[in-house]
This record gives sequence, structure tokens and C-alpha cells, in this order.
Amino acid sequence: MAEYWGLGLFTLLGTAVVTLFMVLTTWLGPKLVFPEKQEPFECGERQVVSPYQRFNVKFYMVAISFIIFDVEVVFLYPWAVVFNDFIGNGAGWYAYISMMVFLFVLSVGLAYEWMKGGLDWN
Amino acid sequence: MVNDGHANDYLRLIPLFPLLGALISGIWLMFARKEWPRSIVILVACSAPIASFVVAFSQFLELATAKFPDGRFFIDNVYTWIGSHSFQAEMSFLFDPLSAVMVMVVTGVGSLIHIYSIGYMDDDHRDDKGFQRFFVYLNLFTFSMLMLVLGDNLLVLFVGWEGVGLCSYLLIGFWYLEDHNAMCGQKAFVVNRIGDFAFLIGIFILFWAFYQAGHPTIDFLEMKAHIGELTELTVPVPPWFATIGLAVPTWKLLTVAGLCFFVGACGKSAQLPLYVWLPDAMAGPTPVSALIHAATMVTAGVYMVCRMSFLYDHAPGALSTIAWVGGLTAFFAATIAITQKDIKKVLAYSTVSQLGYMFLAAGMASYSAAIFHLATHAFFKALLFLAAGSVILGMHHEQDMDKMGGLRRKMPMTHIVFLIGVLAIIGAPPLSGFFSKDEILLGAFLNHDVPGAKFLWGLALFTAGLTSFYMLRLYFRIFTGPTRASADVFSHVKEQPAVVVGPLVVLALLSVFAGGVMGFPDAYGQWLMSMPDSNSLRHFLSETVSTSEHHISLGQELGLAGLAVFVALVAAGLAAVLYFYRTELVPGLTKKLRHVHTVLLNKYYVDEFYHAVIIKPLIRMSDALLFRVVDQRIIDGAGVNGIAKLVRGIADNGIKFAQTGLAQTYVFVMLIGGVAFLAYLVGGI
Amino acid sequence: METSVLEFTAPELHFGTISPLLTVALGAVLLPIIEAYLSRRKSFLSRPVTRVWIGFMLSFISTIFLAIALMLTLGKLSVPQAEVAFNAAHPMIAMDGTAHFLIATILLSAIMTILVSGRYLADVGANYGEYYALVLASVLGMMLLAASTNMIMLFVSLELMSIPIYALAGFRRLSVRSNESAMKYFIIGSFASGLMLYGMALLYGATGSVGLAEIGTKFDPESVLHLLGAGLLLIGLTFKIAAVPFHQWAPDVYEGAPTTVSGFMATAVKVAAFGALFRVLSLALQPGIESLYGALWVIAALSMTVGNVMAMIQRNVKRMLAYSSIAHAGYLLIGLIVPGSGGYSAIMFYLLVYTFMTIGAFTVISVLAKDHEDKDQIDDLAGLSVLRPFLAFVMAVCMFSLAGIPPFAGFMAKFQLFKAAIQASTELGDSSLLWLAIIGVLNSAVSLYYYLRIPVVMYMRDPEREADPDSMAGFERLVLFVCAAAVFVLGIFPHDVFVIFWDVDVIAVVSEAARSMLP
Repeated sequence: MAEYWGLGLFTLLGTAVVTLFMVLTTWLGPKLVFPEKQEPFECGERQVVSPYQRFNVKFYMVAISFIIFDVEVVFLYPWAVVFNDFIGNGAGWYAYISMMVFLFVLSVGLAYEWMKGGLDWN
Repeated sequence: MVNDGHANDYLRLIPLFPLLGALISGIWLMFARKEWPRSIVILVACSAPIASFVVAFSQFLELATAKFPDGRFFIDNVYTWIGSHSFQAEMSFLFDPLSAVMVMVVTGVGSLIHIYSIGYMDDDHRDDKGFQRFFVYLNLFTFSMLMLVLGDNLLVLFVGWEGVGLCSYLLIGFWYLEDHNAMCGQKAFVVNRIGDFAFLIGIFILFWAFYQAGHPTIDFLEMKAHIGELTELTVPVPPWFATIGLAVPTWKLLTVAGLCFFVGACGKSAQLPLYVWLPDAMAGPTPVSALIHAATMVTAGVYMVCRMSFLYDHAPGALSTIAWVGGLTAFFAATIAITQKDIKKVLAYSTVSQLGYMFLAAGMASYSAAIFHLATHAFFKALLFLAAGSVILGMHHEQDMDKMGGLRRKMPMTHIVFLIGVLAIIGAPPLSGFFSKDEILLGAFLNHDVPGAKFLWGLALFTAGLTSFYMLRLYFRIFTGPTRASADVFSHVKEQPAVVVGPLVVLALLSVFAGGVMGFPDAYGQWLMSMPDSNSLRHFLSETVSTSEHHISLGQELGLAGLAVFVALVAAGLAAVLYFYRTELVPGLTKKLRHVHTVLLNKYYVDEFYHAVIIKPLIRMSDALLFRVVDQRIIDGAGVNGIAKLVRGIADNGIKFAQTGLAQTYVFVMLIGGVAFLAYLVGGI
Repeated sequence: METSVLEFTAPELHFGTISPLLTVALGAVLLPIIEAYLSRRKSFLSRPVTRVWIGFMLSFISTIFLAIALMLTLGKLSVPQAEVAFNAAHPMIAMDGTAHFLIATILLSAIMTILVSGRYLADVGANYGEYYALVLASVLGMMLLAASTNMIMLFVSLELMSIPIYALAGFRRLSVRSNESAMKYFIIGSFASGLMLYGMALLYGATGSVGLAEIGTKFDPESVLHLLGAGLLLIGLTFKIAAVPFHQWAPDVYEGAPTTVSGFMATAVKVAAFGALFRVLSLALQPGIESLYGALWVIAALSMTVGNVMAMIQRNVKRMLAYSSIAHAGYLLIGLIVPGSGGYSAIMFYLLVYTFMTIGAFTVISVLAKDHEDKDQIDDLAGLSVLRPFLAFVMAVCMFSLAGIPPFAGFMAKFQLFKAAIQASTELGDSSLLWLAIIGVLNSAVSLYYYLRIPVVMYMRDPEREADPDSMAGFERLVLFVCAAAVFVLGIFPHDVFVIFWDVDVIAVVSEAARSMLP
């Protein structure tokens, strides 16, 4: 336990500093109240429109498509990096076919999205 | 267990056909709620028992002709029904001479009655789905009855036993819209239940006994093989019996089991004191009365006693009881039959009486005579019922013989077959009843094991006279003399169509000839044809049931038969005088014997007695104690409703917490639960 | 370039062993394409393409895939020993008798669900082709889950099972209830998955391995870390079977989800999750952990009691069935606590029976749906015996069986389960199992109250509305008939079930399978 005393001290100091600043600002700072300041997300400006706005669903579609394919493609990197090792172990074809199966499934998803019109903006 | 020569896969077809008939037709009726066209109903329903009959007949021939080194029987093991450690119940069928005879009777008479029913039920419009429903029940009955007689062990037999009881109930109350019919069905069911209970106890005792002896079995053949090991067993008595000073009874276990089985048989076969349901069972349609309540189901008890004969051979006490109950029932029912007015009631009491004869024979250990009478009785009693049905149809559902008479010329065929039936039942030689009744009387006469056997013989002889008297009374009152029916009804009476009369003719032929063909006594055979074994049925059956060999001279045989015929003749003469030649004597005689007459007319007040002593106290106790206190207060009040109210109260009040519909609460509960789970796991609190 | 550092041997692929998995996977991949292709066509083979037709085609195709998988699985049922799937030394999945039996049950449930879905979906206006692809994907996850012997495989297959189910729960996307159901299930399910993943991480950190068998050799019941990991893992799985206190989502989700999906969820998910529980308990956790079995005891008793009590006050049949499924999860958990193979085999038989009776009940409710609305209030069933006698009959059979009344299969299943518990308790001289069995029996008695209310309403009350035109599809009739028949047959001849050409002793199969699973 003894070697953790630094951690304890750090925690104490952190808490003390935060408390100190909170207390000081409450005590010392001027308190001006005006409507703009009471808004949630206030930044001193009056809100122009309501934040609860409808958003075109197409943006979501694109975003989701991007995430899906982007994240899945990440798998290709480690595979590509160690592919030589696979060959060295005599498992080159195995690794290759495995990735092709993966890509096939992925492209089925792409094809589905395409055919369903997920890639058309209009 | 099953030797190669005994396996026979065709047996399962015999009960299968009626089952299929009932299922196909019944399931359709259940879901479609619409009847088939009648022709299809008839085709399905009637082909089932006929197909069974054909299969049964072919197997019967096979059985009779094949050579068996170790017992004449076929076995069809369909599958293992219940397999537990030591207890094995097969769904298997046994076809030995005893069940073969029964199967032939059931399918043969059953087929004829199915055909007859086409005509009988045709004019029935009381229920728009009645026609198909009737045949569904009838097929179901045939199936159950075949299970009963073919069953290879007590459990299969019991399935059939309960099945026929159910069908009997359904068919007695077939026209259930009339309250009376439904009540009669209920009565039959409840009374049967008493017998069934005892029967079950018997099965349990027997299985327990075999289990004790190291042969846990309920299979007939195996039980028969090992029954000798049980003869010394007595009823186990709890040790405190002796310590509190009670005398320790030493009842033989087999006797107790035998008596239990016999109580079951009493229920099913309408013997004293459980016969009361059978006369009321006449509320059902007449073909039902013929098939179930005369020819087949009610003889199940006799069959069962014969089937268990290996047990009764070791339980002489039970056997004597059977003989006495049978003899007394025969006499008792015959006296009631003398005064009854409803023609079906007369026949019903006659059936009770004849069943008594069968039990008398079984009790005297002449099982083959019992089965012989069972078969001939099936023919002539079915004939009488069906002919009576024909009369009832002709008279537009009139059953009171005070409103009949003079039907001889209107219904000539019915008249002839009815007369044949009457002659057969009163034992006129050489009709079938003569031979079978003769064999029973002979068995009683020669018996030395039953105490009072000679008295029973005398009683049976006298009952034969009574039978003759009331049957001829019935005949004369229906068919002869001036009619007592209204002119309107009488003018419309006419002979029934061929579909009704045809089965009657076949049954009449059987009633005439079957007796002589099946059971021509050995003594006559030696004398007339120098054939020492002319009683084919007895020799056939002797391979299944033990038959005591009668060694009797021709003179004795002739003397006994002559005596019986003489008694019947005297009684017949008396009936002829009273109901044919000098009918004007009857009112005076009735008046003179009015005390006896009233008692007989009211059937010895047995129903009233049961009602006062058993039913009424039972109902009162059920109502006052069981219903009002136990059921309403304790079970419903404190038990069911109380617990339900409590549970509902908790649930209703807890519902706010238990199903808020808020996902965050659910997660919170999950979290708390999870923490508790983990705490328990780690800390083992 | 540096020299090769990675030691790797390509696993052997035993295609025969994993052929059912591959079949379903292929189906799951192909179905979206087929659906997308068909829905772009105006006509196909010179017949106009309609939504209903597409739905029919897709259900047909997916049934074929599932049926092939089922045939392949059934062919292996008689071999209880595990077949090698990939790598004998480090098995990811164990395709043994237990896995095959559970997979067959899952496939049966899926096939029946798909057969009854087409008309129902069209009826409630949710006839989208993705349904079938989602079902197949989820089935693939379930099959893997029931067989997985490795924590990574366990987690991946659990998610593969769950995510399509979340989507299926919300499949009636115009219905608020359905959306709510999906949302709730997703949020709470993610939470449970998170807990489970946490448990796996702890177990991996403590033992250094992900294979369940290897964890079993290193498991230390004294260590807090080990126990916490195991406990969190179990929480994730008991969530899936909806055991108390991880059950509250079930009624809301079952009620809101499309009825056919509810049936699928109640049965197949439970089967798969029990498969995973079998593996975790028999491989990773030593049977001697007192507190673990104590905790499961409490969960079982609570599930039975809470499920049955809450089911009593429900007015909605789907909610009632949800609580009943919670109670059944409680009964099933008894089998997990029984040491030895007896409890496991009883569970497997119970799951098969439960599948038939529950799918039957949900199917009846789905058939009753009309005009885009579920008729799922208990009052809606009034007089059903007059209006739709066949439906009423099947429903009554299912209710009797769920209540555990002989001769229906539900009785036989409960009997096996309680028998196993009582036998084990007498053999071990441990009365706690006996008490659990007693609680189970008492709960069965309580459950009569609400199960029998359904037949009472159907048969003894007068109908409150006109008879609907009988719009039942042939497949629905078939499934209902199969469910009712199976409930009878499994109840009366559990030792002797004839499936067309094939005679199987279900009890013997499950007990062989359970025995082979245990070391």
C-alpha cells in the first residue's frame, strides 16, 4: 500500500484545487443574470431556432453506411500486415479465402444497400 | 416370452378398424360441425366392424386349425406401453380360444347391429347431428370392447373396460335433451364406477402379490404360470392390529383379489346388488340396448371372471360367492320381469337374470358353460331386442305392452323371429338356449365344491320356469289377442324394411342353430353319432379355462334335460292360459296377489331403498358438510379464493413497482439484483 | 524485412460438422440480395410482383434453408460425441449431441415461426422481406451460441443472435408499441451484454485464457476476481432467459413485438441461452462452487414465484405468456442446479416441449390479429370455441400443457425435471433441491389459475363479437396441428416418437447427449 501514497496525495490535491476555484469564483465573481445566459447551451447569444429540428434522414443513412464500411474495412489492415506470416506458416490460402469470405459478406451488404437505393441522394 | 409360433401381427387390425372409423368420423364431426351425407356415414361406420369381423374370422380359423405345442394362442405385441424398472405393460393382444369366441361374438353381432341401426336411426330427427354421432359412439364402443376382450394384460383390459363404460354412458344418454335419459346415463356411470373401483383395487392387490412373489407382472399368461406361488399369501395386517387386541384375520390374498374383481364384474354385468342401472339403461336407442346392454358389454364381467379363472381356481371362497350371487340374481331379476309393462324393461330384467345364469356357471367352475351361454344369449337376446325395436318402430316409439297386442298379422317377419327368440331363451329343444342352459344346470347339479350347490341348481331350475313364463307373457301380450292400441296407431303399423329385418333373420338362424353346432353335449354325441367330443366349444375352450370333466351317463343327461324342459313347459302352459286362452283371469289373480304384485311391480323397492339409505344421506352430507363447509368455507374461502385474493392483492399493489414500463427502472432493478447476486456469490451470504 | 514471428497453423475445416451452420449462414447472406432484387422487379417470370408474393417467396426460400439445416442436424442426433469442427486442441464450438439437439430445437422453432409469419405480417402491415434474413441471421447466432465453448465465440454469437432480434421486435415500425419494445430490449440488452463482457474480461484477466475448458482448469473458487467474472457472465446469460431479477423487459418486449416474433423470442432465444449456460457451467465453473449454486437456487425460486404471481393479474395474453415464460425459466433453472447429467437432459426435453406449446399459443394469438391490430386481450378470446373451434382447441391444449396437466407433454417435461431434482436430493442427502422441487410443484399449482382461465374464457363465455371469416393460411393450420400433435405425442410416448420414417426415443437422445457433454 505504501507505494501508493502519491496517488492519494494527487487525489486530495485535485479535489482541493477544484473546490478552491469553485468557492473562489462563487465568492468573487460578478453575477449578471439575463435571459440569454439562462438558456441551456448558453454562449451569450440568443437562440435563433429551436434545437429540436427535423434532420433529413439521408444524412443518417450516409453516416451509418460510412461507419459500417469504414469500420469493417479496418479489419483489412492487420490482415494485410501479417499476410506474409500466414504464407510463411503455409496458411496463405486459408487466410486469403477467409478474407474473401469476409469481403463477400460485406459486399452483399453493399449490394443490398445499393439495390435498396441507400446510396441515391434523391 | 412370445414364441415364434404365437406372434401374429394381424390381431391389431381387429380393434384398429373401429377405432379408425370412430376417429375419422368423430374428428370430422368435431371440427366441421356438419354431418357427412348419410351414405358416407354408413359406409365408414359399418365397414369398420365388418372388416374386423373378416380379420377376426380368418384368424379364428387359423387358431382353430394350427398346431401349437405349448398352448393354443396368438399374441400381437404392438409396443411397450409403460416401461418402468420392474413394471412392464405391453400394448399387446392375446387371441386364445376364450378371446376368439368373444371377438367373434362382438364383431359378428356388432356388425349386424350396425346394419340394423341404419334403419333404426334413420327416422330419428331429435338431433340434427345425431346420426353420425350415434355411429361414432357405436364404433368407439366396438373398439373398446375389442380392447377389452383382446387385451393381453389387466391394464389393456381395464382400458377397454373403462372405454365401454364411457360409450355406454354416452349412448344411454344419447337423446340427452330429455332430462330423464341423461339421468339414466349418469346412474349407469356412477353405479359402474363403484364396480370399477373395486376392480382397480383388485388389480393393485394382484400386482402387489406378484411383485412380492418376485414376478412383477400383470400379463395373463405370466400370471397364470406363476399363480401357484401366491396361494399361501394372506392379507398383510398392520402390526398395531394385534397390539390393540384385534383379532388378526387370515384372509387369503387371492380370495380378496378375486372378490374385488367380482365386485367389478357385478357393476359391469349388473349383478346383485349393483344391477339397478341396467333397467334404466333402456333409455338409450334400442340397437344400443341390444349391442351393449344385452349382447356384449354386460357380458364383460363374465368374460373377465373366465379370463381370471386361473385365479379363481385357487380362490374357492370367491368362486362360491360368485355362484350364489349369480343364482340369486337370476331368480330375483326373473321375478321382477314377470310384472313389468315396458317391453324393453322386461327384456332388461331378463338380461340380468340370464347374466346371473352365466355367473352361476362360472361360480360352479364350468367356465365353458358360462361362455357358451354368453354366446347363445348374445344371439337370442340381441334378436329379441332388435325385434322389440322393430315393434317399437312399428308402433311409433310406443313401448308399453298394455297398448299393444295383435301385431302378429301386421308384422309377420318380426313375429316369427321374436317367437324364435322366445323359444330359444326358454330353452326349447333343439334351439340354442336349450343346450347352453342345460350345460349350466348340469354343471350346478354335478358340483360338490360350492356349499349349497344343489339348492342353487333347484333355484336355477325354478328360474328357468319363471323365464319361460315371463317371456311367453311378453310374446302373447305383444303379438296375440285383440289389439289394445288406438285405431289410428294400429292402422299405420307395418313391417319394417329389409335393412331392419335382414339382421333379424340372421340372428334368428344363429339362435336356432348355433347352440347345437357349438355345444352339442358329449353324451348325445356318443349316443347319436358315436362322437365322444361333439361339444366342440368346450373342448376348444378347455385349452384356456379349466373345465371339470363331467362324467355323466346318457340317462342322467337326458333326465336332467327332460326335467328342465318339463318345468319350462309347465310355466309356458300357465302363461298361455293366463295371457292367451283365459285373459279374463288376470285382473282377478292380480288382485288376489296384490301385495306380491305391488312389490314386484316396484322392483322390490330397491331403487327407493338405495335412494333413502345411500343417495339421500350422501347428497345431504355432501351439501351440508362437504359443499357448504368444506368446499365453500375451507377450500374456496380460505384456500383457493383466499390465496388468490392474497396473491392478487400483493400483485396488484406491487404492480406499480413490478411493471412500470420505464426502461430505467428495469435497468435499476437489474443492477440491484445483479449486485445482490454477485455479493451472494462472492461473500456467500 | 524481419523474420516471421507469428506462429499459426490453419485450422482444419470439417465442413461436414458445420454444414448446418453454413447452410443457415448462406441463407442469411443470400436472402437480402434476393429480397432486394425481387422488390426492384415489376414482374418476375411474367407474373406481377407484389409484396405478399415476395413475402411468400422469401418465407419459402428461408424455410428451405432451415429445413436443409434441420435435416443435416437430425442426421447427427444419434451420435452424442462431439465432432471436431475446427481445431481439436482449442475448440471454438463443440458440435456434440447436446448442441445438435438444441440446434434442432432452434431450427424447429424458426421454421414454425417463419411458416406462420407471412400472413400475420401482411395482416399487420409489416410485410417487409428483411424479416426472413433477420430471422436467419439470428438463428445462426443461436446455433453458434448453443455450441460455443469459447468466450469470444460466446459473445459474438450472443450478439449475432440478439441484434437481429432487437430489429425484429421493432419490426412493426409504424406501431408505437413495437418501437418501444425494440428500444427497451435494445437498451436493456446492451446493458446486459456490457455486464457480460465485463465478466469475460475479468475471467480472461484472471485466468489468461478464453476457452471455457481452459478456464475450468484454472478456476479458483476462492478468488473474488474469478467469482465476480463468473457471476457477471452468468448475469448476461440469465438475462437472455429472462430470469428474475433480470426479467422485467420480457413482458413489455413480448407484448409490443410482433406476435410471431414474441413466440420466436420466447422459445429459440431461451434454448440457445440454455445451451450457453450448459457450457459455462459444465466446462468453466467447477460443480463444487457452493455459493454459485445457492445463488442459482434463489434465482430459480424467485423466477418461478414472481413469474407465476405476476402472470395471474395480466389481462393481455402476450404479457401473460411473457410472465409464464419467466416462470418456465425458473423451472428450467432447477435442472441446472441438479448435479450430473439428469438435470441437463431434463432441461433439453423441457425446452423441446416448451417450444411446441409456446409457439402454438403465440400462433393462435397471431392468427386472431385483424385489421392491423392484435387481438391479444384475454377478453378477446371469449367464446372462441364457437367462433374458431380449431384455434380454441389448440390453445386449450397448449394451456393445459403449459400448466403441466397429464397427459400433455408439459406434464412429462416437468415430471422429468422434478424427478431429477428429487433423485439428486435423495442421493446427495441435500434437502435444498427437494425444497426447490416442492416450490416448483406449488408454483405449478398456482399457475393453473391463469392457464385455465384461457380455456374457461374460450369455452364457457359467449362470444362478444361476430365470427371472423376464417382467413387462416394452410401453413398456420399445419403449424398449429403440429404443435398440438407434438404436445400429445411427447406427453404420451416420450420414448417412442415417430417422425414420418424415423423413430426416436427423445428421452434417450437427451440423456445420451447430456451424459456426453459432461466430463
